[in-house]
Amino acid sequence: MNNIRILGIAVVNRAQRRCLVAVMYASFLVTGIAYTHYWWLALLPALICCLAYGGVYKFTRRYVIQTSRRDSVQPDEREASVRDHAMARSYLVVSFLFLLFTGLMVQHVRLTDGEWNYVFWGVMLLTSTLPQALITWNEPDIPKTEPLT
Amino acid sequence: MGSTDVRLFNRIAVLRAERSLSRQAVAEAIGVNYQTIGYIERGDYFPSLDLAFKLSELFGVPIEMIFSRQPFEPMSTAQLRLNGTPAGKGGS
Repeated sequence: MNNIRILGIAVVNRAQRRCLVAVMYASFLVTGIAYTHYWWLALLPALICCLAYGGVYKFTRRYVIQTSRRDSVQPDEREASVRDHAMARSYLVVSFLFLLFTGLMVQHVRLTDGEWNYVFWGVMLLTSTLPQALITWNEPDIPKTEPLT
Repeated sequence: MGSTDVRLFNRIAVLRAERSLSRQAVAEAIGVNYQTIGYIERGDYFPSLDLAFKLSELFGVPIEMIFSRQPFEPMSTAQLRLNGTPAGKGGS
């Protein structure tokens, strides 16, 4: 874990790791904006978004229960508590957003097909990545592995 | 997780050093990730009672000798205070 670099970002360092989360959501935002103009403009930011998510996934893989037999590493008590905390906070955020969108629907806010498409994928991205993003964002710097330090 | 208004001091690093144990070795002995040992040492995470007991059994010392709400005094000072003799000169 100490030597892992994703998109040139050292995940051991929290400040640098936060860039990964920022890049992921910012590139998704850019993807949506670019897609409304020319679809091919959205390819590059979409690729960056996927790469950043790959980094976030790689960092947070330990925190989720591995169900495959090949990789049977289970989270320890600290990792499980960090995961549960992130899931609880994500649930609050997603619930709030759901209420917000329901309110907008009730108010007969009209969106174009493209805007609905963007909202749909935004909700999909947020619900599936927010716990991992919170873990990546909040975890302190990873301790070094030197024997006696 | 460590709270900002509650502090828990520990001697894990000292106990590891005395026994020449790496974080990895301690982590494997008590069944956690080595990063968790680092987080506990730094005070970023407060272990469960179960984990505290495992550390206590691993190092062979009481829990209160590993964790405290007050900053620890140096081991040599503690030994001097308890035995009335400097560390290394006590005993028979």
